[in-house]
Amino acid sequence: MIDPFAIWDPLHSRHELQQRLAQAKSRRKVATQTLVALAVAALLVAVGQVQLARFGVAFGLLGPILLLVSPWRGLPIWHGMQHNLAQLLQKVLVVALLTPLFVLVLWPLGLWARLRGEDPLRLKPFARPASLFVPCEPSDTQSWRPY
Amino acid sequence: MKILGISCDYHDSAACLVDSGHIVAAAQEERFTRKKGDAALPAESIKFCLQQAGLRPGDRLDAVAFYDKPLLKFHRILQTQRAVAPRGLGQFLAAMPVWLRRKLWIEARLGQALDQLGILQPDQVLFPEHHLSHAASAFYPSPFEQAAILTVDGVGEWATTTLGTGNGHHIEFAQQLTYPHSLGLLYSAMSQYCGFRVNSGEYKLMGLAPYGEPRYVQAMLEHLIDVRDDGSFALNLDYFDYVGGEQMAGPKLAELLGGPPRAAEGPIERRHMHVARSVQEVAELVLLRLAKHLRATTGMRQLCLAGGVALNCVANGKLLRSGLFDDLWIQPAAGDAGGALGAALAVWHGHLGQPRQVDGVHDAMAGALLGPEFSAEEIQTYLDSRSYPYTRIADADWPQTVAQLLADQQVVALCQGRMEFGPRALGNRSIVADPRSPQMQSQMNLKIKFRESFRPFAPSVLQERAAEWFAIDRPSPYMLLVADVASERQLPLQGDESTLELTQWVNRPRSTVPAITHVDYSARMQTVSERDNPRYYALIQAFERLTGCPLVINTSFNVRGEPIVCTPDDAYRCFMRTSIDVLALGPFLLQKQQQPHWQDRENWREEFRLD
Repeated sequence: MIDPFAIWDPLHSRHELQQRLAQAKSRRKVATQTLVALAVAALLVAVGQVQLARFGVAFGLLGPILLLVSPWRGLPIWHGMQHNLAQLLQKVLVVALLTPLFVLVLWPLGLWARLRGEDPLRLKPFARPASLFVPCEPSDTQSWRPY
Repeated sequence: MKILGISCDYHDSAACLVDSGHIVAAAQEERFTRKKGDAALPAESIKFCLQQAGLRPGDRLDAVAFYDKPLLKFHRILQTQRAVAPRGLGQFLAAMPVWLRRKLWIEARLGQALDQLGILQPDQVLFPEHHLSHAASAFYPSPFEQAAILTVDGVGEWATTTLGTGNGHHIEFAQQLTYPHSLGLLYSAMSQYCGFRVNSGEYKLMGLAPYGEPRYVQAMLEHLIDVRDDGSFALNLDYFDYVGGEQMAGPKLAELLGGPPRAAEGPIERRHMHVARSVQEVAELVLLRLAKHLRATTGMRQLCLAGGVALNCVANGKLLRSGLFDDLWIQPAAGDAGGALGAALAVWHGHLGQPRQVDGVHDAMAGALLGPEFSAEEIQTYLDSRSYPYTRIADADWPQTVAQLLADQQVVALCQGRMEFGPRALGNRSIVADPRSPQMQSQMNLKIKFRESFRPFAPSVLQERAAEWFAIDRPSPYMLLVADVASERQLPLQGDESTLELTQWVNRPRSTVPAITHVDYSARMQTVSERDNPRYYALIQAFERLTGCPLVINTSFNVRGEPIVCTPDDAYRCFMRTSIDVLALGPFLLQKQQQPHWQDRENWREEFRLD
């Protein structure tokens, strides 16, 4: 019987080719997840969570990069590399990708918020009313969506 | 209509299956994977729940309920980072890859898990809020038609404390406190300060508290927590590091409490005991004020409690004795595992509007015996395959036989019937012993549980005898209430207790049942009824006939850091690794001396991360 894998690429073993197929599938998954992340961001804009949506867009773009660099995603860059080295490189990449996001996006946003006098976490220990409870909205028990 | 409830990704993953409002099965993932507090997607628990409900490949679930709203939680994390930047980079770098790779895609991951089991995709995946899941787990299975509801934990999406009411099948929230102001996180921070692990060591802090004096209460109320008359509060984040840092407690806390945090496994000093006692009193103060406010604003006479803080059985006991409410009902799996159950019930009653059936007396938890069980045939097959020697005991003789072993000062491990759901072993995955023995507490702590000698053991007492032995006037079936040993059974203090070394203090008898009497005469008792667990009830009854004592020591069947055993194999392994004398595996009794030589790795205890 003719082995379709052998005809397709006789230089590689069946195992390697199966791995390539898995990688292609993984890339499709990454593409899908990118779309989902962006869709989530759009959805958040739609429901008024603009602040979260701003981050959602950033992560929608960044997320797939992180997915791509994950060693268990099976991309060729990691093949043949020692496990520990792969892990180290992954950590370096995560830090290299996320630190600028933190410094260039989150920090300025936080500074801007503080300049405008915002205190979203109610951290300031003064001028508090007699009761510190926050009223609940009816939607707290009526929404069944993930946000 | 079958609804699968899921909790995962933070700690204590669990699954629960509710069929037309009836709780069919519930289990924590750690019991299957043998990783304490396992946070992974609970694939094994899901599999068990589906099997228990009779679902087969090709069948479809009507709904899946996840116990919180992941995007709202993500929102909180990002808002927090924004609020504390440039601090928090380390936390950000640690959290984001996990969120981006895993936590945001929970719906797809649940779909994959069901796919792997051949179950068709559910009609709907629903996301109740974290504290709604807790509230639902507390109110819907309770025996009350209407009740006030209080949920208190570390943090859900934003809420850390909610106050609400349940009426029929409706739950409404009125007020809440939000992150970072959290009683659960305050307690966790203090646990970490005293050298215990966050999310699993809090109950040790509670156990340590009676050894100390409330010396830091005033300092805590002045500097750490601003508590208002209605129980609302705000934490002073200058003393904590969890908002932007990688520790719970900040450096200023050490200054306030007069010294550095205790290193894990380091010696326990008096100061740590005083801190434990102080934070326990602060927690009780807040809970009592919250309860008082809830009683005044709702007018309800019953209270339902859930959230991790509701596992603080010392505070629960004080709440009960305060008389603010006529009765309390506390979800036995009050932590995040119970969120799986609450989410499923919230969908059935809250989303689908299905009514509840309550009788005012009995709850719907079936004694929390909702996990897997193993038939006598399955156990026998297991024992025969390994050639382990055993004796089969007829059901009618079993209580008397095991009771006699206990009366002869043997320590017996029980693995029978359905496994408990929640952190407490209630007689089906328990180690039991004679509570009258003065040496039993130390012996069991050091040679069987391999845990700190200061930790007390809990008693299981026949429900109708409880009031004769403890200062309590109602059932406590889930070991969630603490009460004093009856005064006529207490032995007087000698006055030098506070100067003794911890081990000497622990070993000094305090009552006629010293092994279960804590240093302040309290006991975290479980009342056992014939209705909830007839086999365990019969055992204690037989023990009373032999000794006149209607209670036994009940501690969970595991060693320190290990999840409670689930299968006969887990039970046998734990039995052979410890100084337990006899294993009662269903109807089979296994004597330690008759077992073949047990070979194990010398470092087997490293399997379990100490808590």
